[in-house]
Amino acid sequence: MGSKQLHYQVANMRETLFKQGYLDEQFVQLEDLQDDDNPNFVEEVVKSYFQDSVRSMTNIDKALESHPMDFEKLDRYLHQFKGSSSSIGASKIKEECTQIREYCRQGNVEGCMKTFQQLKKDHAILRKKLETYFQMLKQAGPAETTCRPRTPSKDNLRRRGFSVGCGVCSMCGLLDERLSLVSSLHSGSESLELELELSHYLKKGRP
Amino acid sequence: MDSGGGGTCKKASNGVSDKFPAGLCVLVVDDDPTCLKIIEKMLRNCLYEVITCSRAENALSMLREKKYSFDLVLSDVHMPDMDGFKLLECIGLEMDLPVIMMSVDDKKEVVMKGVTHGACDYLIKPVRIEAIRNIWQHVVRKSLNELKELEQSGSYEDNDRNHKASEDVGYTSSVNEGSWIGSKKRKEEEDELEDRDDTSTMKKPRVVWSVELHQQFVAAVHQLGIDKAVPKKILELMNVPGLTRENVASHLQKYRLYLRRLSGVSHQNGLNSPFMCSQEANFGSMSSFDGIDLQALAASGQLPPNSFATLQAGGLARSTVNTGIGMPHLDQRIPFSTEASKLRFGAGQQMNTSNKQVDLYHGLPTNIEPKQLPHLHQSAQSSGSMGLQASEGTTGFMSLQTSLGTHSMNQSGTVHGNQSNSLMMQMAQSRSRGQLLNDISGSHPSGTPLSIGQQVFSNDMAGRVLGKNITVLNGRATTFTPGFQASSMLDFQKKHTLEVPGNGFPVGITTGLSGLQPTGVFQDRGNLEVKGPRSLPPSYGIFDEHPQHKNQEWGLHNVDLTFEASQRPKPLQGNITFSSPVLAHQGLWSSPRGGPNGNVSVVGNALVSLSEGNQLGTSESIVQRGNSFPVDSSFRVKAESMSDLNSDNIFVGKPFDQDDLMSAILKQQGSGQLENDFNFDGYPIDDIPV
Repeated sequence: MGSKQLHYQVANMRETLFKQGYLDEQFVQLEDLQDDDNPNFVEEVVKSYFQDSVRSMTNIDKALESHPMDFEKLDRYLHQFKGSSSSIGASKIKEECTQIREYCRQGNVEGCMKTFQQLKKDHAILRKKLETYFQMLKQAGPAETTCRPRTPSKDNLRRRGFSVGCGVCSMCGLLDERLSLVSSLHSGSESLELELELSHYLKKGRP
Repeated sequence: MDSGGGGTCKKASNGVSDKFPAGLCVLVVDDDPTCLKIIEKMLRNCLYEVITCSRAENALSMLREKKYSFDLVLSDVHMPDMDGFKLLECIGLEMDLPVIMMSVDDKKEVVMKGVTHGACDYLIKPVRIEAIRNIWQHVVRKSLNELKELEQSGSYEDNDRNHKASEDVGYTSSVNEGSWIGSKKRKEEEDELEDRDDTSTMKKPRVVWSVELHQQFVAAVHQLGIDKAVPKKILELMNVPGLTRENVASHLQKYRLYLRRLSGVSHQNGLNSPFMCSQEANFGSMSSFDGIDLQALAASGQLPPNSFATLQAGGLARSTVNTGIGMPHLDQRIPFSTEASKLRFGAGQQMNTSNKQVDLYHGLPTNIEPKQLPHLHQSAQSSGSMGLQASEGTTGFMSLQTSLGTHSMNQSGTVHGNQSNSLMMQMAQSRSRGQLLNDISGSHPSGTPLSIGQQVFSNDMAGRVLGKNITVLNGRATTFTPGFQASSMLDFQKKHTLEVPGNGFPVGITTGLSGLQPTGVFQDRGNLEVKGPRSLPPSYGIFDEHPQHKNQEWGLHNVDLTFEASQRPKPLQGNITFSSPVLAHQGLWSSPRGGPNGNVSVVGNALVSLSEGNQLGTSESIVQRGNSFPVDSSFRVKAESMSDLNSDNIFVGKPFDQDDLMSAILKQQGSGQLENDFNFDGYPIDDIPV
């Protein structure tokens, strides 16, 4: 696979994760923290998270199985788990945690159980996806600066020369939502990147 | 799993890095390793220096070690080993660093809790780097505020303050050092400004936190609830003409410190963190103490019922704290509970039969910093009248130390440190006081002289005492006996338990106290150097050489524990007669952080049973009661259960820094020896009805 294609795939995958709600803005923050001194920062953090989460989930499992259910403990574990999940941007998991906590408060045991099952599934999916993602990232090799797949945040776009907010591309000076037009005006991988970014950006409706 | 952060945090000489905010040294505490890693990276990206901790205990010890000079602490709210809020309190009290809380929990109640516990900020997780970037503002704000308060409160005492400050520098924890030094320097620079500046505080005569005034203050605080007590509201409640918000603010600060110290002290034993962050500790000790004291007091009829209640209620610093909490270990101790609220005047213990007894040991905050101890020691020797204990030759003081759990005391800095006239010392001391009391009360084997000068200043007590214009010589627990060994003093500091020698806590009584003479509580020790204000160079008025001496100068000097300076050759008399019930003026013990004075804040909730003529055994607790507490010459500060203690050394906790008060008192007495060494809020005892 050509480097470009790889990059494309990686970018795509990443975008999917965001689109599907597995990851959120916080993940971008992590990516922003990564720099040459810590080139694998994000991966390290994610790894650390998954290691930890296994423990958290075991605790939650135990608490759920306790009879009578120890809601307080459960709440505590969930709180902890929610905290770490949110810090890496695992939004789906975070939301599910919140949901279970709510059920906890209501004393809805079944709700807790069900949601937790779903949470475990999502957790597994996220784990797999991120593992693949990082693998591919490594494979794709050090990204050229312009090709680094990033979820466009305001800052990112700005950095790339896009004026954020009005959808005007500072490069082509066009206010354009049509990806094809954009890509036709820009060449190569850059256009691909642009395309992805813009689409993401526009779809998300961010200012 | 603590990871040493990126090297040591260094500070420029002016306390602030030139590249500020880069180089700001931050301690991050979070049990979640993922979060910890992320926050650390964020901080590094912002060019801050970072040190991480996953356990609160480790964080506290790191802070205490002073290996790094931290500027700021970032802490998670929910941690398995210690509640984030507790840690927050501890840090605030001990090191007075700005603390920012973090949590994924954004419920209003939790955030509110953070605010009330003194957090500078509350960040919701996931924390964004933008939020991290701005944390330096809290550091700046805090040091500016501190500077302002210092200036306001001790404006006229610039000299003293400067003097103290310099001494303080030596004693303050290095954690604060940077900022302290910075503050100090700034303060000095601003002195001129002050002069020119026509701030109301400048022109105002220094406020002397008399016993009554303090009692009013404490009552107001309790009414509002310690958490909600803001200077403005306190001021309104107190309704004292001529009192400014700034006065109240600085007094409140000291009071809080005192309280915390108390709780820390009392809790010392069992806690990992020496600094007892929980109020409970205080209360615990207090309760035990209280019971005794109150009874004693009641018995002696000296305690006015209302003050009694208030004292009790005062508890330590927090209104919510229930005095009923007994700390198991404390309970065994001496009855000197550090209940702030109790001014324990040895119920009726009087040091001098003829004099009113002042419950000087009102919870002298025992903030005896380790460094201060030596001072204390020295001063004790020379001054003799530290009011607290004059362990005659015994190492009573030392014994204090051993059992002094006033570790917290130490942390809180010496009493001296506080320049501000406030009771705060008491507050700070309260913690240590509690401890002291506990120790003093009792569990101490007789061999240990209680060098507790700690006056347990319960918050209330302080107030009360103050109200009476009695300056409790707190804190300057320097045993005045020559025999005092510096080492012991040190130990004292280190130890968390402050043992109050069987007899009373030396309570510094401001000159206001007439006839207040601390009776040497120290049993047998003839030399309890209780010097009356007059005789006390440091103007620990409490201990008067002459039992009959009506000392009114139990002023708590700013105990600079440099008693040395004021060392009086007079040996502490065994009898300390407190002519006025002053004592326990917590406020008196302002133990400034840096109080170089080694003063050990004698804590003791006035449990100094200064028995005249060495009745150390009697555990009359002199509880100082609030305003209404009449100072009876017959009061004795009795350390409850002091009987078993050698009351040889009663340490006077750090006196408040009511320098002026003391001086006033001293002047009255003609001793003029009021030195600002002792920081304590001198409460003139003039008003104390004999």
